[in-house]
Amino acid sequence: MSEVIVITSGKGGVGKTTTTANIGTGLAYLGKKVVLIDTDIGLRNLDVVMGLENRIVYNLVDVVEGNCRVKQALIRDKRYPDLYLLPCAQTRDKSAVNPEQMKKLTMQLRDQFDYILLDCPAGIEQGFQNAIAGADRALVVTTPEVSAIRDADRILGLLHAYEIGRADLIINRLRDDMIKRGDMMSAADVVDILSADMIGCVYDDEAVVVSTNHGEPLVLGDSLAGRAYMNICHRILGEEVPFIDLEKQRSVWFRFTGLFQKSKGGQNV
Amino acid sequence: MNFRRLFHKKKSKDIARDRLKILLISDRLNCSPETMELIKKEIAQVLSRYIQIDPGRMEVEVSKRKINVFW
Repeated sequence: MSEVIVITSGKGGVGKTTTTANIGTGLAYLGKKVVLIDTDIGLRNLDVVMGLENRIVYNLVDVVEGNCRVKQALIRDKRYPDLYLLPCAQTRDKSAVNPEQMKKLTMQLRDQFDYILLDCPAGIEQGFQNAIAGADRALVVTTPEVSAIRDADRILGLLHAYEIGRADLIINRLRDDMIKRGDMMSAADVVDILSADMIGCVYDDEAVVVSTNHGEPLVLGDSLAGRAYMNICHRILGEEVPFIDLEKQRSVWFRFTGLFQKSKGGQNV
Repeated sequence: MNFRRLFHKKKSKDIARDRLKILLISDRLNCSPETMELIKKEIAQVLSRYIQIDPGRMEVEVSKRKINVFW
């Protein structure tokens, strides 16, 4: 059974592309056949985050317009033979593709892949409509800021209206120090406000910038964000990975036992 | 709760949460905060006709499918 997952957010710059790259790589590491589709026509970025920008020959618009076969446009990842990228056109705009065509394309790809991940552009216009057209479920990325949360709420409403079966939250760029001070909403606060299910929370991590600099997703490394993304991959596969209450970890007992657990990686995110 | 409020300044995350709660309700219902204030006032008027309430302390909570009134 293949699954088409759209990664969306409404607001720009919250980490959709990073999330798509890392979840895609993580699922490929776990032995799944995965294709990542960049649907942000005119502002493509998934190729650079994946470090595959030099291999692009054909793109999504070429496929849809029939200039090439799907196979010709798919770029094989340099790390995993079962991970592919379908880049989008840089010199066209969102109207070059319509939702019907996207639906057809995802149907075609279902035969060959276990997971089809769509990196959605910011906004709720045609680019968004294209990206969600063929999706079975959605991952809504947000950060603990008012603007991102408001947009996420709007997106959740639209996904419901378009009858996307399931939408889960990924709360990105949490900062433990600010949450402790009371200057940032916690993951629990965001979940409460949006009343949606959370599939993962990712702490703000410098390693994300470093990995993007290299064009290597960090999901395979031992960074905090990398582990969080790997946990999300396991949850997508239906495995139960517990969220450890960070509040609890700060209690005296956990601080004490935490001294011995640090090497094991106490924070489960 | 009130005890804590006396001694602590409100944290910025609480301000964010409170603002968002109002904002999302008006977004979801597609009506402005002023309209919501009017709805609240009218509910208070209707209720006070039949039961004793303090309109100043009345709180209305709106979620996607239900409206709770506290007084």
